[in-house]
Amino acid sequence: KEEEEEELLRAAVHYTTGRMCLDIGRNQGKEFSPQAIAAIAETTFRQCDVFAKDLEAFARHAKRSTVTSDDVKLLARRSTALAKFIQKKNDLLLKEPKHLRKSTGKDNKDQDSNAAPDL
Amino acid sequence: MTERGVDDVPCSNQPNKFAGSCVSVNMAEKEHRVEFKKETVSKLLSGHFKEDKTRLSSDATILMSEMLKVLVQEAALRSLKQAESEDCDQVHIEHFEKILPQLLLDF
Repeated sequence: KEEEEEELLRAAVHYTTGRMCLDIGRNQGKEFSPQAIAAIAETTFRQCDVFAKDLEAFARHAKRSTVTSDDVKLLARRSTALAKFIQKKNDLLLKEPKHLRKSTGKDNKDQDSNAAPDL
Repeated sequence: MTERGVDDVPCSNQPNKFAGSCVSVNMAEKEHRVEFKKETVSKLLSGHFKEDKTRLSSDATILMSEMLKVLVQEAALRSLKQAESEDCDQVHIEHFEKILPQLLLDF
């Protein structure tokens, strides 16, 4: 059952990665080979393991059992641009009215802020 | 090492019509709508926690979804640049292999 779940998650990551690569490739006039997409998806999937363990450790260090946005900010410390980007996203989340945020999550996010960081 | 995020496209001011969905239904809708679902992110992360009682706040999930999106986009764009420098039309796994070490150092 657990392995089944993992395969489903792997497939979900693969699917979303494929969509992102397709969009990027279309914008730049290039194509991604299926193996390249699979490799990026697999890397992302395994990176989640690292992310999860880091987040858990950060939360425990702060004597919490819930991972919060502060922990995610700490996770993004290796790259200044990424840290700034995450900080900006976090600020936007805090600005959102709470009742809107609970129900749909992302739809009321300011699209202007969507610029990805220069790493 | 300086890669542009693809999110930085002219159409990023459009209202988001596909709230909560992982990808948009319409192919013409651009990539800022393609993102990891909150549910997926939550399962991906909580599955790897060592202690069962560790929880993930909803803000953290949203931010992690953004983070994973940046990771994939950086991987794709850097591979693409690598393929470009080698004058290849298709991005192959070798191109990704070449940018992988620096990518992992950045995340």
